[in-house]
Amino acid sequence: MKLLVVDDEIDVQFLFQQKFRKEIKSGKMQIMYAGNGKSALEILESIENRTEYLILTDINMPGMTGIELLRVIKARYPELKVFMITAYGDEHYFNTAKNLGADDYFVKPLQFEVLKEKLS
Amino acid sequence: MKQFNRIEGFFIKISNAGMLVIFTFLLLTANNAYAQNKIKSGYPLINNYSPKEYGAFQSNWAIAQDKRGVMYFGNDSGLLEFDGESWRLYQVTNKTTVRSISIADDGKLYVGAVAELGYFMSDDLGRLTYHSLIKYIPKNNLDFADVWGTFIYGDNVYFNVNKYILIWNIKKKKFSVIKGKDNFHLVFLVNGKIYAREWGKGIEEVKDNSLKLLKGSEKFANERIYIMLPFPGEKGTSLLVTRNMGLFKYDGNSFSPFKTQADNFIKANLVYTPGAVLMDGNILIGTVSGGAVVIDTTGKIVQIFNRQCGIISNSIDFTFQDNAGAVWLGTDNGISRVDYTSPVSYFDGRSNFLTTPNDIIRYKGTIYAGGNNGIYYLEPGTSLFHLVKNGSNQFFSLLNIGSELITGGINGLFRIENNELFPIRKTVGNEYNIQSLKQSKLNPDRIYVGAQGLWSVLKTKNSWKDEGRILNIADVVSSIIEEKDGTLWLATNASGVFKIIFKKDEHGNLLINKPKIEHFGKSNGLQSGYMKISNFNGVKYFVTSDSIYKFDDTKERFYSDTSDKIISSFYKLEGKHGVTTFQQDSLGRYWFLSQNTIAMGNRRLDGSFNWLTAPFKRFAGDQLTEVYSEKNGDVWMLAGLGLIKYDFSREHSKFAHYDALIRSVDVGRDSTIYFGETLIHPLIPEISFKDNSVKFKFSAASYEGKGVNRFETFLQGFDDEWSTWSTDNAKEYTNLSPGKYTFRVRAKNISDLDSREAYFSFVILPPWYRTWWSYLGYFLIFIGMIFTIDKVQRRRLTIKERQRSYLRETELRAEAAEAETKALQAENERNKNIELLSEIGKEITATLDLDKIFYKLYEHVNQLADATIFGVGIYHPEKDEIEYRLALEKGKKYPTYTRDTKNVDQFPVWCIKNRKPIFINDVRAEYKNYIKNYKEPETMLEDGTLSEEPRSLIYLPLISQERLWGIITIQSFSKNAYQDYHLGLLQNLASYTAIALDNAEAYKKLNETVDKLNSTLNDLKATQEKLVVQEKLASLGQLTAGIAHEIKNPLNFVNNFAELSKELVADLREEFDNVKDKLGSGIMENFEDIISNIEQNVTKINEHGNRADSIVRSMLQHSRGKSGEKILSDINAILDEDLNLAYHGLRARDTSFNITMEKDYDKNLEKISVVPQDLSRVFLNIINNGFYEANKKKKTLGDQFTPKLKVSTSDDENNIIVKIRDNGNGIPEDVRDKLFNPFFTTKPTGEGTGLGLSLSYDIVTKVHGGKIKFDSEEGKFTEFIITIPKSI
Repeated sequence: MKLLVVDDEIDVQFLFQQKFRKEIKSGKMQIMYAGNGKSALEILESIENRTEYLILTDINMPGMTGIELLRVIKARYPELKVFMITAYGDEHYFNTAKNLGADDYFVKPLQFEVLKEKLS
Repeated sequence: MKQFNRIEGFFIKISNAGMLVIFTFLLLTANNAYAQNKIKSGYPLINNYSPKEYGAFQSNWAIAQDKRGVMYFGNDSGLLEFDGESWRLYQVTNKTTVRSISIADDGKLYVGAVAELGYFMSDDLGRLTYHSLIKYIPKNNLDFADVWGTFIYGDNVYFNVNKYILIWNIKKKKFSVIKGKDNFHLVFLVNGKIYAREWGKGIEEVKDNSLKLLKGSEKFANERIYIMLPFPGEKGTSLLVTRNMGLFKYDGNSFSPFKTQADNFIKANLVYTPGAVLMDGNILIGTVSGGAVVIDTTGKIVQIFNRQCGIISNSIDFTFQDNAGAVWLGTDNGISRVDYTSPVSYFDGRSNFLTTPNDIIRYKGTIYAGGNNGIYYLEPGTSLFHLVKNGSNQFFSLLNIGSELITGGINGLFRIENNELFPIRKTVGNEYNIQSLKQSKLNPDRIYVGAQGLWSVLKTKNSWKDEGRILNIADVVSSIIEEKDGTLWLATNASGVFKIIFKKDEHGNLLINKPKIEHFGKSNGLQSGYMKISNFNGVKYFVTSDSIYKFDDTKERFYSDTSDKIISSFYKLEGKHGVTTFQQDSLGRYWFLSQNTIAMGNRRLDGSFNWLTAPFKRFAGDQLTEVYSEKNGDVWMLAGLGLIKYDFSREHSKFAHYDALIRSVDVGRDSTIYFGETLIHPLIPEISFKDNSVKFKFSAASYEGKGVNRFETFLQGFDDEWSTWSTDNAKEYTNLSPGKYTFRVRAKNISDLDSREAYFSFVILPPWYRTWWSYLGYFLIFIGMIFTIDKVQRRRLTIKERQRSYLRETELRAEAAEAETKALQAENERNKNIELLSEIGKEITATLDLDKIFYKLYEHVNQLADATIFGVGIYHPEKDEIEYRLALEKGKKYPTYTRDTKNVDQFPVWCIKNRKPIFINDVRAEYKNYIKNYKEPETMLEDGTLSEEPRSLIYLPLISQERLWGIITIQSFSKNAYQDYHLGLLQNLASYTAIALDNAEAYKKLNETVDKLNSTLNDLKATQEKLVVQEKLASLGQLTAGIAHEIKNPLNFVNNFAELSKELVADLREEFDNVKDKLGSGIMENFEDIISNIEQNVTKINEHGNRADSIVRSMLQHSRGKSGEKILSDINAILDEDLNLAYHGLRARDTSFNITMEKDYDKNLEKISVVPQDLSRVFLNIINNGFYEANKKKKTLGDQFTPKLKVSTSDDENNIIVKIRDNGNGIPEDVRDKLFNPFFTTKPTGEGTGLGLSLSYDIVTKVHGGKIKFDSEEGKFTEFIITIPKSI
């Protein structure tokens, strides 16, 4: 599985790296990180095997929000799957994200078992 | 892209003599399997388009390409159009098969279908529409079904059906019909001449609407001819291909047989129309069951395209070569495109090469390749590989030493002779599993054998001498290089790098035995795993999966040399992605092979490097491991699926220009304004503002690969620059502002060739409210408004003026009247009366009580005139009545009565209506002056006697400030009772009375206003208090929500990382357990200690984190919802939930806490309208206090004491009553009156803020209008009683 995780909190990267350390080590998983929507798009533009990546993005980010990122990704690369992560209390974004084509919705605190299941 | 169909191979060893034998053999058996492998050029790249992919039926009978490069196919479903990205289907009127297509210079697509013919043309919106020509056909000639052929020549379009040749003159728009004696078979256009074969006759030339039989063609009278083409290279000569009689040439005079290698193939597989002359001068012929064959002008077979080669079907219905040189085959099950002119060819399963190659070499003119199931050699002059005998195992290395060919593999070292393997040394166990061979340059008779460790063999005259094992390791040597001085560098699979330094003897020869061995690995900066070593230009390159390293001899470290010109120039170009091979070929060219790039580099004269990647992009992802160059520069590449050969000599000599195409333009909600075909008149549509989003779909007429064309777009008027390259073939722009735009698109195909640009201009109209005429409208409206305002102002001014002048007039009049009255009085000599009057007036106006006023009036009037009858009536116009507040006769009062004013025949009514006095000294005589009829109503006096009839009377209106209050009347039973001065007197008194009445009313009004104001003030005060409380609650709620929200995020991290640390500690423990026997017990203990501590700590962090989380949760729960909304709620439910919340909350904080709870809920409690969150807060507060107190008591008294909390609900008529009682130590006296003060608390510092009860008090009393009090006995109990009204 290949993931692109977009979140402005650097600690999220450490979290993922550790939570999936076994899968990353065995090569079953590859995770890339972007700290904001703009760099996420740059990454997507530059990689060759873009279509293999699942995208997990936070909603509340400075600059380009997760919703805006979702909108751009669905316009440019409609075949890519995008999953939204949101903090407690952002439920009002649910419909907006759904209408823009978000493929699923996770609420923080992330339950990594559920995440692993849904992504595979 | 590649198809690899495996045949159940049977190899036939072919020599030139055997060819003929086989030919005859096959002639008898009509077997195809042999012929296809007699090709020397490998298998081409093929794209197949299945019916599912293009969304129509299977058979494709015609192929054409228009000026833009767009492909058209005549299909059973209709006309298919392919633009490189997507397929479109168009149908003729009767939706039948399109059998033939011909495209005219003006862009019209003439088609022949079944019982239908006509042309497709683009309409004004670029939409391809069908125009039938059936109606122009003479009625007698409509009896036809399939239109087998359609040709355009000059001004005419020739449609070929069985019975006729229908010729459509484009200019004249008329059909002429050619009919033979018998039916026609097929019609051909060759070198400007039209030929038709008529059954029973032969071949006829169609000229000037007549048929002329060709001499010598009689032999074809009943022989089907499927192909007639200009013979390539021979002017004026045509090639004919018949079904059964073979091929012929026609030079204009006679027909001569043309024998070819493919004669039997063509006959056996049934030739089909139309064939094609290819750009390279060869001839393409399709068949019904064997695929298609390409022959050259000598008749030799060049290539065969069939299923085994990857074509989608062997039944070829049409053959075509497009403007880029690719061969398109319409089949009965889809469409195939063959990259005919490509320099790339594949040797894979189709060539019987059934493995992944590990090495390749050309030895004595023959190509040998070793793979996982043996060594193969390529049969010269063919594309067929055969296995070398006796070798059916893995071979990794091939080497040409001297004149021998040796190979190393799993089984050991072998030599190849006459295509058979002979062992040199076989392996016993693993020791001679050979992965690499290296011929020493220093001593060419020596071969270093990379197997399990490193061995060496020496070739003597006739035999091989085993020189033994140089390096003994339990790993495989995968790569060997030799330096100038004989030093060897070895790469292994997993053991790093070895350097072998040989000692030399006196003569300078190497001493093979006991060399110096150095080992380099991770500690030298080298990653373990895949590695290849290559050296050239005197530099050693260590290629690993992450980088290319060099070795620093002094530091003994591997490093990535960024200054190396070759490597850095490559990285600049393509990045570092997983280079697998870096080598220099025999021609000095550098090759980089990585996961997705193949680059060939040449050093330019100026020292820089020129990297070529475009030609190889097509197969760059095929897992290439090595490149082998031939002397002529052609390269063989070892790919996962076999061998790929690149013939530089066959490179596209002419590169085809191709176009980017805009295929559709949609606006607004998917309404298409341009459908993609060529427009005669350029279209610059104007799009209304409401549809201001535009979506473009585009493609490029380059068909190599599928979906590999990349596009860049630029919307002039919107974008700042061209977009990045992407394979997306659609672009959408939303919310465009009004203006002119031009959308431009360019494509780049897989060979990095750029297309010509396509563009589309359009205009977005401004919305109605932004158009010039709307702006004009605004301006006019604005002007209009100014006018109106001006007018209004003016009018106002005039009105004001008028009012002012009116007022002044009234004032003046009043003054005049006053002066007159004064004059009158002065004449009267009643100065006393004047004084008296003023006194009376004072008295009257001194009181504000109406009744008093009237009575005073009466008193004074009585003194001054005959007021035997006296009355004061208040006029109520809304009720149409006069209310006589005071009426007396002879001093006796009438009870208050009313008179209806609707009856106008009454003096008072007249008086009111006219606002004038009535002055009568003889009623009977003078009444007519005022009213029509006079009848004094009979009224009962107070004492029961009836009233008498008056003779003289005065009625006066009571008027003050223009307001008519009512009337005043004095009446007498005597005639002539009144003089003028009486009237005057009464008038004065009336004035005073009126004034008094004014005052009284004003006063009354004032009082009312004051009352109103007071009440409003009270209301406001109450509301304000409510608001303040709600504010407090809201802001508190917001505050807690805000805090809770902010804390949630960092808390999550704390918990997550704590959990992770726990897991990692467990892992550490495991690891530790694995090695603990190796470490000393002392270390073990320390380790164990520390680990346990960490474990504990982390667990604590986790626990507390969870705790904090639950606190935050409950805070958030509480602050949810809008404060202030009253909804019908169940008090019992709220109370119970709060009880649980408080209980579990306290238990989570203090595990020693325990309490007995008693619940006594009134089941019949009705729901009441409250603010549930606020009430909840109150209950929680009090319950928590109760818990706290009870618990505190227990802590001092110990186990003998059972803390208890009782909660009960009940109701009375108007209220719901909630009681919460704890058996704590009660509330001390000195505290009781401070209890509800804000910030007052009895808890020690840090526990509780003291805000609770004060807020609770406010919530209950101010928000709900209820009561809260408490009952307590020191040392025994405390009980809070909360009363909430059922309705506010």
